[in-house]
Amino acid sequence: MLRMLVLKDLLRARRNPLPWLIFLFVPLVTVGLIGAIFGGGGKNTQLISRIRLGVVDEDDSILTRILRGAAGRQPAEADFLEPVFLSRAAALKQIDDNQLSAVVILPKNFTSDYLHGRPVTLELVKNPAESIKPTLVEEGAGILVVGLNGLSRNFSAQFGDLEAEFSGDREFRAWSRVFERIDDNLQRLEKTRPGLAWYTKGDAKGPAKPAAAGMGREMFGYMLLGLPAMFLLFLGSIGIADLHREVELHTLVRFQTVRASLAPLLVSKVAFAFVMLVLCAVVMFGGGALAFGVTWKHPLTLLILVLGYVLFVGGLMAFIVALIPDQRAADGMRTVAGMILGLAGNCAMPLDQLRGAAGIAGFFADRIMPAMPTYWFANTARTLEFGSTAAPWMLATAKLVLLGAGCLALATWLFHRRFLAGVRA
Amino acid sequence: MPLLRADQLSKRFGELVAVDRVSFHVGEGEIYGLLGPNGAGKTTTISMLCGLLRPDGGGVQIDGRDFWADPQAARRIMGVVPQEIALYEELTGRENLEFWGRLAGLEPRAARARADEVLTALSLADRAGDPVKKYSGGMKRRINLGCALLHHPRLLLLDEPTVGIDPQARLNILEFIRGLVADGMALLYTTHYLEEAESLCHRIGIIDHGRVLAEGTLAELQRGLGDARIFVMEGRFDGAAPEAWPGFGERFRVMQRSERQLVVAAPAASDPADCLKQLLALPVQLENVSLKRPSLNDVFLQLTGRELRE
Repeated sequence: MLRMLVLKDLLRARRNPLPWLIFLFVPLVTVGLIGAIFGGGGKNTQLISRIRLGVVDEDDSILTRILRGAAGRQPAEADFLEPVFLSRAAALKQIDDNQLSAVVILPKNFTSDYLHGRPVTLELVKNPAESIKPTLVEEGAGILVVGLNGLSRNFSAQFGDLEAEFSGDREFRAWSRVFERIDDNLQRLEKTRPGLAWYTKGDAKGPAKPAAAGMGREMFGYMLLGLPAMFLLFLGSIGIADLHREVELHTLVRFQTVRASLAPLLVSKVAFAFVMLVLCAVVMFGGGALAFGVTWKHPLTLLILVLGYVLFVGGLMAFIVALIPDQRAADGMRTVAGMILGLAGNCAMPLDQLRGAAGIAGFFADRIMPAMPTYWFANTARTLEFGSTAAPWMLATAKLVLLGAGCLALATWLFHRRFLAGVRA
Repeated sequence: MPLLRADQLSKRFGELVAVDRVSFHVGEGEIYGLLGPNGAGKTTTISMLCGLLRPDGGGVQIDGRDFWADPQAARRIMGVVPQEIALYEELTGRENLEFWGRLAGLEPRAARARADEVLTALSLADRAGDPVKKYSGGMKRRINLGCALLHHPRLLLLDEPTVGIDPQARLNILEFIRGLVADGMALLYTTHYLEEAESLCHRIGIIDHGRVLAEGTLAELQRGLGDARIFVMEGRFDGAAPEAWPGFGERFRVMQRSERQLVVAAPAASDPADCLKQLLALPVQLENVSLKRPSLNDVFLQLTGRELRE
């Protein structure tokens, strides 16, 4: 009978799929939209679309020409910068016309002042109409300044020679002697002054390898494990809310005139919600990964974790329906619960960045957020797929399963009490 | 032995006594009508008969056995047609019939064959594959009725099965019900339509405020009025005081009065012509006086002091 009841509900869902489709595709579309803004899917792995950067070279020395040349020869993989070389007036006009994200101005005597150890100032003009791209340019300018300062501290002895080379018209052999001395200096520096801090990407097992997917895909993956987790709550809500629909359609009453026990109907609703959630999870996590080019490193473990999460969602929603007999009130409560759990559980926004912060934000991130079942799922799944430490997936799954089973037991007890009191005919 | 026996059924909802010691029985091949206005306690009574509600007092016997001794066995004997349409709108008529048939215990093949029979009997075979949401009100009512028939019940409980449908659809359903009874089925039929009770039911129980006020065949109920002659007077009765009219109280009994109408009963032995003369001589401005035989509505009027349609 259970099979027949579930098949009946699946058939009804197939005939009226709109509520399911909406909540199924909203997270995928959202992931796609955010991806389109911050980076492309598929083969395009850039973090952000091309930045059109104006460069004004008022110095026009050999060094600035080299810098300009370097800026113009971006490797294909890092094709995120489109430098445009302009006069100051033309550059500022293009900023006004919103054609440039920012302008970097190399001032007159830049090379001479720099090589003589005199302070130099790069001028940066940001487009006030944009937010992200000018900020990225500013960050890049900061890195350039740090690099130039580092060079001046370590190679000031060679700067005199370089200045002479840049200002005169020396032959190639003289150039090579200068670079030989720089190379010797570099090798000595490596032995005597090892870097204090280095940056690399890797995991606990060994040194970093270039990620096949790239940062853009990691971001898709990060979001794919969060937003769908939130929307699974809403999908579970639809599945279990079908119990209210049975009351509304009076089919629950008719069921009671045919069968002495309502237990099969209740169990079938949970089973139906479970089946639908698993199907939706497959579409969202599997289909989403295919659509955005994300490769799950631990698909089986992730599947187990998803099943545990799905059980939790089904149990929670059944509990809310059992707790609140009024359909409208229950609908509202399920939606609110889904939103709170989704948002507070770090599913939609990277709230974990608030951890360690002062005040209520820190208290929330350190104490409240880790207690959310949605966080157990999303955080564990993200650690599993993208983290550098081992993910406690078994513990998270066990917690989700136990909580889901507890909710189901409570829901059964509440329904039993309600039906003993009598359902309106 | 009756197939259904309700014995002193009672149900309270807080302070409200919804059903108060209601007793009746229904035999095979019989239609028992429970006639009463909205809120009289018909649906609560049927809910107790089919196990949706547990009575606070009294009991229900199905085929001689207490309902609650084996509720599932009792349910197998009966089919219930709820007052509201209780169908899955996304499913087709056939799918609904098959589903409820299978839930009642039929095997898939038997449910399919029986669904075909019922669809044909209900004249819905040509629309069997359409989703129920595309059906008219009358068609939904027919499928609603059909869903209770899949498992060949011996007892059918119908709770106002013709509410909200057009006269033609109502006639079709009533005709179908008559056919069921001809095959030996026992039927409990609740309604607030006098015409349905008069034309369909073998015996009628009049229920109001949770109590059965009278019970019997239509003729028996009419005889309860003592073969009285009913006069319906139309005119202006606002401010009139019939009890003060000389000799009126000895010859007539007021059954109902309003500003425009006064209904009175005269003893059967009285001469209609004399009654008419006496009525026309009353100190009130009359526009019309008519004589009629007592109807079920008059019986209800006599018992409750108000019309069923109020």
